[in-house]
Amino acid sequence: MNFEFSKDQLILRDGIRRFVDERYSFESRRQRVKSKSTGTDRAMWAQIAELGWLAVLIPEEHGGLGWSIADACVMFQELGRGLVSEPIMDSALLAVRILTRADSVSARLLLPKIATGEVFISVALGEAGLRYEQKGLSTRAIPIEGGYKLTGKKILVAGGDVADRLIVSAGTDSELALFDVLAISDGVERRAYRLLDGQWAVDVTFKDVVLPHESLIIGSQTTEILDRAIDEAALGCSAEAIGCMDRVLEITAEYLRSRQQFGRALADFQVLQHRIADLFIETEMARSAFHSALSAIDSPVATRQAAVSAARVRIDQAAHKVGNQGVHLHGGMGMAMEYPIGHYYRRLIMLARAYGDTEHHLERYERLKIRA
Amino acid sequence: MNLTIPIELERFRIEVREFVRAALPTDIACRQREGWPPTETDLRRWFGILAAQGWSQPDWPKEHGGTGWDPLQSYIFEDECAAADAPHLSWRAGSSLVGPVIYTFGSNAQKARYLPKILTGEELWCQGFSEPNSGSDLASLRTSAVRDGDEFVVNGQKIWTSEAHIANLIFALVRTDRDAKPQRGISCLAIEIESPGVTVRPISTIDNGRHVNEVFFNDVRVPAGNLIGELNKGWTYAKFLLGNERHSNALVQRTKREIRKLRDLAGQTSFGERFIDKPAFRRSLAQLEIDTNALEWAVIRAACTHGALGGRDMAFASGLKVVGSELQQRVADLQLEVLGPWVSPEFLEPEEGAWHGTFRPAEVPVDVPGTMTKALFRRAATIYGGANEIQRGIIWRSAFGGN
Ligand SMILES: Cc1cc2nc3c(=O)[nH]c(=O)nc-3n(C[C@H](O)[C@H](O)[C@H](O)COP(=O)(O)OP(=O)(O)OC[C@H]3O[C@@H](n4cnc5c(N)ncnc54)[C@H](O)[C@@H]3O)c2cc1C
Repeated sequence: MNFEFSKDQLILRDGIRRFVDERYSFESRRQRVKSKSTGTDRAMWAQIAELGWLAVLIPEEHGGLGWSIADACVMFQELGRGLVSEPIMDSALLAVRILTRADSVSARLLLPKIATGEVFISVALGEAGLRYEQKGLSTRAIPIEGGYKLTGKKILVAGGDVADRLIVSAGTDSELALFDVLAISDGVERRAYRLLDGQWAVDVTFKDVVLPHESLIIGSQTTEILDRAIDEAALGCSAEAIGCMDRVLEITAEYLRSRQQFGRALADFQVLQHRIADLFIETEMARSAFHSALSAIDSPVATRQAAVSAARVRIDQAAHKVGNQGVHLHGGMGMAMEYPIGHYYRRLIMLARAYGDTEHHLERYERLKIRA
Repeated sequence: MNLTIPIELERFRIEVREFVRAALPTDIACRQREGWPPTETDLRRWFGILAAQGWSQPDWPKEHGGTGWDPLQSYIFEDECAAADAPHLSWRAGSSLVGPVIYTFGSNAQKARYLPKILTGEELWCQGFSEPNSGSDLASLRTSAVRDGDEFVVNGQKIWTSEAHIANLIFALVRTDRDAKPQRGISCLAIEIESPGVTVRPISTIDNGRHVNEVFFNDVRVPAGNLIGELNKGWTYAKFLLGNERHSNALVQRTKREIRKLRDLAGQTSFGERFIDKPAFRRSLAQLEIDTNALEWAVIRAACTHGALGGRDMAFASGLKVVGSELQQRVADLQLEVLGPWVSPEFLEPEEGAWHGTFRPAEVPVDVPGTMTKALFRRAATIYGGANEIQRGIIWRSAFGGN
């Protein structure tokens, strides 16, 4: 066993770190968040594509780097650390994993274009009243002559404001299926809003959208394929959360060291040293739970699901403690948007609930391991 | 010991409930129910309604224009206000906290000048204590006031000043003696926000709200008559005020209301699963109610015995602040738990008076944006009014004699 990053991973990581320093500084982020009317930045996306981040998980035969999830997670950890708020998880991981396993050839042909940033693809799974499962979804794709007619409404589609295409889950007559939908199709209506972490998302309405046959990406065993891709994304988010937590610990410790009260540094108070020590332990245990899940990501379904859920429970709980205490230990500064800690707090709240929250994963773990 | 609630108090509760139900404007209650802080206009409206009834200062004695209620009555009053979704008097720093300092330590002229306008709500006050380099270590504050003839000349900066943007006056702690021990060189000044040289700058907070400000003083000339109490006795007055603040900061009545909201959210189907159907969630809710009930009885005990226990009383008040703030955060965290992925949108405060029918991201029910926003702001509860570590230090020193 070896817990060290490989050379390629280190190169990618350092590249991200440089990018963050040069082009994604906290100051520039704040300026962007302040301006009221921007959306997802396609120019930024082009830069990201150029750096190769979007290609990491795409198989080599489709123009990507063909990395494993475990390898890719070094990227997500670094993105978390740098508080890079771009819809990379959905586009470069979730969408890619779905398309790679697609039945349709035309869907797989999208992959090289995703790698270069030429095609921006978002994933539209969520619906009002649907928490994390697709069971009970109300979006429908009714077979018609020449294809399908899509009707329904999706929410919280990250990056959907600039997406060229959307992967949409819908029920056909018999089964759950995934469709590739052109975002500018007739009958597609998008409404954009900002998320807590500064990313943009949309709610999308599909009104009798006519889809050709080829738009069906996956029509059988969709649940299995989707569950697996979502588990992978859940781990990607875990990596991101760990990167965030690492950074929160650094900036909080640094803050306590530099902030003087009562004629000494706050870091001199033992109760605060111990608090940081506890958060450090939380983070390291989260990291280990994450490693455990990474080692099981290609295992049979039940093993994989239990391991991912176990990791997510640990990580989500750590994210809460670290985020909450990070804010608290900054005093008033913790509440101010001028300071990074609040932005990490907001990001951690979201990450702890992306692709399943504590409750969801505890329940799944219990079902698989305790009740079974 | 007699722990039964007297029948008169039950009658009083019904009287308050009926008054609030009839007097509280529906639109104000509605906004409050949806979780948004009251607008300035709404605050002043509700204040005016209470003032007309003679109920704007439930904690003050009758001789100064308060209700003269005993502490249990004020407790019940706030309980009923919270239950009915009346705005919390968040500018209480000004009204309920500064007032007692003025009527206890101020001159007759000051009582006549300030108290009536506090009572009617015509003048709102904010509390200018914290400075950039003096937060937990408040006594190190540096904003200076130098006597010049009939005036003080004030220079310096305050930070985190709640509601300074709507306040008419700031109750400021200033340094008037640089050579004395830090605590002995502080005085209290009442400064009009409109005075030349005062600048109020907003600080945006992680809930996107408009709560706190920086307040700058640049050669601000303040009449010497605005000195509250004696020169260099400001620390004593500040401690007096903060002691009262710790009582009201427990906010247990508001927490009870938030628990009801949590139950409501947990019963909805909008979030995919009804959380109330989950045994683990029901346990958390039970635990929360049990802890809140204990706090409620602690707050009632403190109200009934306030002032009688000396050091232990101080310690106990700090304990209420610690538990109160932690419970506020626990309810908020459980609300976030129910919301799940619906925590993600950045919900913006709707325009004043027009919060219905506006676009709600991710199809959330109407009360989610405000609830979510409030939950974010709850992170401040363990920080303001003296961070919880500071409260624990006070408990150690005042109940156990320190080192
Ligand atoms: C929303 C909000 C509203 C506020 N409203 C007002 C207002 O109206 N008027 C006003 O004057 N002030 C106000 N404040 C300021 C508030 O009182 C201070 O933020 C608070 O006293 C902490 O000071 P600080 O922010 O400088 O944090 P610091 O003193 O720098 O402390 C940072 C953290 O260090 C820890 N810490 C500090 N000292 C110790 C110690 N001795 N031992 C162990 N741990 C310690 C605590 O965890 C604390 O949270 C407000 C603050 C907030 C967040």
